[in-house]
Amino acid sequence: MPRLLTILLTIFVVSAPLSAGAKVTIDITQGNVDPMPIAVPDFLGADDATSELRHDLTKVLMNDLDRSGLFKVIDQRAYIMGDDMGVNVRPTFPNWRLINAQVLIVGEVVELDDGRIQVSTRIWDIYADEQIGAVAFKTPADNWRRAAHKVADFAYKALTGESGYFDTRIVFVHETGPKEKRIKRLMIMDQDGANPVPLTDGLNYQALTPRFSPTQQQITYMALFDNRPGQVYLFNIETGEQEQLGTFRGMTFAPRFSPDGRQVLLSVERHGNSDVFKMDLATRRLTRLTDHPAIDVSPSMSPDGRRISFTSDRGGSQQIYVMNADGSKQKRITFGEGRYQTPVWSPRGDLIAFTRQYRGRFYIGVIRPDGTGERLLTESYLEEGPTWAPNGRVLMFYRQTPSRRNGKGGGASLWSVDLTGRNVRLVRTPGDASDPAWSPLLP
Amino acid sequence: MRFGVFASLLFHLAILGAAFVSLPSSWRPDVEAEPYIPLELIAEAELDLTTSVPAAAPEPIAEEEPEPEPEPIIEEEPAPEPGPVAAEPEPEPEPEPVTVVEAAPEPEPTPPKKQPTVKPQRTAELDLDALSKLVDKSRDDSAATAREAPSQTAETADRAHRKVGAGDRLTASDETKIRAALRRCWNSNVIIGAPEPEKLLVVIDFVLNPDGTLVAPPKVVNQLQINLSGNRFWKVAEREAVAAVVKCAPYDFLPADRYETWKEFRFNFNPGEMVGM
Repeated sequence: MPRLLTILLTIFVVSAPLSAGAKVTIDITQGNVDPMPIAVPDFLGADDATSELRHDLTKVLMNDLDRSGLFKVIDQRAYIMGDDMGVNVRPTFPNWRLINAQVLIVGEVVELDDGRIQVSTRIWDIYADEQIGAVAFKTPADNWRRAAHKVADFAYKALTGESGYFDTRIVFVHETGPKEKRIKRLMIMDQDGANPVPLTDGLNYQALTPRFSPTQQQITYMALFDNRPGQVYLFNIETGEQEQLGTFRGMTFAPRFSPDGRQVLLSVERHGNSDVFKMDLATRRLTRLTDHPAIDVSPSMSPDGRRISFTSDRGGSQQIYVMNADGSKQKRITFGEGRYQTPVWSPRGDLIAFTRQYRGRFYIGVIRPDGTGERLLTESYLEEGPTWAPNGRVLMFYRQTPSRRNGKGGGASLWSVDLTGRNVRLVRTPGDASDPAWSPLLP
Repeated sequence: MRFGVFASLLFHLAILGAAFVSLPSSWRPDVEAEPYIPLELIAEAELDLTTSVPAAAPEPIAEEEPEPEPEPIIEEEPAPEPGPVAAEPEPEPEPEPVTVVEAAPEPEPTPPKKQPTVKPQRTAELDLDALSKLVDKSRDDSAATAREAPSQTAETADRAHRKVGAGDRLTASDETKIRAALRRCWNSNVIIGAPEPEKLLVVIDFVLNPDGTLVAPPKVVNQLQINLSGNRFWKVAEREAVAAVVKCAPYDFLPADRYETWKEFRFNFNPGEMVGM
C-alpha cells in the first residue's frame, strides 16, 4: 500500500515539471499590506421581524473583521445586489469583482419554530469563483451578538488559517476616583468592548494583574489590602466563587496560569528577595523554580509546557530569561539596553511578548524564544502589560498618558496591535482601564 | 497486510465515532453568573452544502472578453520552423515538450523560444529546498537582467530591448511593471503574520492571451506539496497568490508587440522577505 502511494507520488512529481514549458520566472516578494477588501451585505431574512437584528448582527461581524486590520469591509452602498441573492445561491462573481471584493460573506437569519434563530453563512472566494466555507448556528435570538462573533471567528479562520479571537472576553482593571484614592476593581467585557460588567467591588482591596486561565473561564489576580500583604486569588467567572491560592509567608504576586490551566506560576518575595515558584492547583503544593539572590519575577510558560520565561536582574539590569519547566538550564535571551518586563509566551509558541523600558519611553515588543528577531511594535510615554489573543496573532496592552501639572489627566486605556506592529487600535472601555487579560475562546 | 489496513481503518473510525459521541457531552453549556448563551453549531451537511445551490449557470464572464478567439498576432520575427511543433519535436538543445496541457489560445505553430536567461525548471522533486534554490537562481538572473537593461525611461529600455533582439526576452522595464502590478494585487497582509512565512512559497504557472487576459485559471505548481503539508497557512498563501494573479489580469500593460516574451509565466510568491517590514 505505501509502496503504491510512493510510486504514484513519484510519477506525479516527475511528470509535473515536464508540463512546465519555457516560461518567464519572476519572484514575487513584495505584496501590499493593505487589508483584504471583503464584501459583507446585511444578512438576509424573509421576515421583517428580524430585520433590525440582522442589521445589528452584520454590523458586529463587520466591526470584528475590520478591527482585525486584516480585512477592509467595502462600503455596502457600492454593492451590486441581484434579486437572487441568497445564502444558497451562487453569487454573480463579476459583480463583486467589479468593486474589487476578494471575498464575499453572505448570511441569512431565519426564525425557528422554537423561538430561536438560525444564522447561516457562506464565504465565497471571488477570484477563484468558489466557496471557501459555510457555517450555521442555532441560538436564542437575544444571543445574536455572540452568533455574530462566532461567524466572524469562522470567517477569520477560513481566510487566515488561524483560529479567530472574536468570541472572547477581556478582564481588566477598571480605575476610578482621584489619583491618591484610586479605586481599582476587576471588570469583564466582550472583546469588542460590549457588555462591560464589574467582577469585584474594589472597596476592601485593590485588584491587580488579572490573568485568564487558558482552558476555563477562570482568572487569577492579585489583591492588595490596606493592612496585610497582597495575595493571589482564584476567581471563577461562571460561579463568582473566589478563593485564596494559599497562605504564604511574604508577598505573592505576578500569578499566571500554565497552558493546561492546572498550575499557577507566581513570584514569592521573602526577605526582600523574589523567586519564581509554581503551584499545582489540585494539590496546592508549591515548588521553587529559581533560587537566586537577584529578583526573579513574571514567569510565563510556553504552550507546550516545557519552558518558562521570566525576568531577572541578575545580570545588572532587568532582562528576560528562559528556563526548562523544572527550573533547569536558565538562559538569558535579551541583551538590549534598558529594562525588559512582563514576558508573555504566545499561545502559538513562536514568540514572547514583553514590555521594554528604554531611555524614558516604553515599548511593547516580541522576540523569539531563542533570543533572535526582537521587534518593537509600539511605543509611548508609558505602556505595559501585553496579553495575547488566544490565536497568538494580536496583543492587547494598556497605555498611560502623562498627567498635567495640576494632577489632572493621566488616564489609562486599552490598546490592541497586530504582531506585525500594524493596526494599533484603541479598545473601547467604560472609563479608565489597565492591565487587560484576554480570555480563551468561549466554549 | 490487507487485514491490517482494514483493522486500522475500523479502529480510526471507532475513535472518530467515540469523539463524536463523547465530545459534545463534555461541553458545559450552562452557566450561572455571567452566562454566555450556548450556540448550537449545525453540521455542514444540514446546510445542504452545494447540492441546494441552484447552479445559477456559472456564466463565463461575458463582459471582459467579447472576442472568443484571440487571433494570433502577426509575428515580427521570421519563425525559423513553422512546422507543427507538437507533431515533431526538433532535436533542440533543450528538448521542450510542448505538450502544454492548458488550452493554449492558438493551436498554431509556437515560435521557437530561445531560452531566456531564466533557467528552465528542472526541479526533479517538489521539495522546498529545491524550490527556494530555484528562487535564488532566478533572482540572480533577474538581477542580471536589470543590469543589462537599464529601465530609467521607456526609451532607454526600448533601445536595450532592440539591442538584445526584438521580442527575445522580457525587458527589465516590463518586469518592473509586473512587479509593481503584483505589489498592488497581492494582499500579503494576512500571510506575513503566519508562523514562518518564509516557508510558504507558492509557485504559479499561467499563460496569457495577447490581450493580457488569462488563457485559463492559474495553475499552482506545488499544490500537491501544499496539500500534503497539512499546513493551513500554506493553503491560505496559495489562495492569496492565485487571487493576486487573477486580480492583476488583464496584463494589458505589457507591450503587445513583444507578446512572445510574456506569454507564459511562472511566479514564485515568497512572503518571507516582507516580515518585519
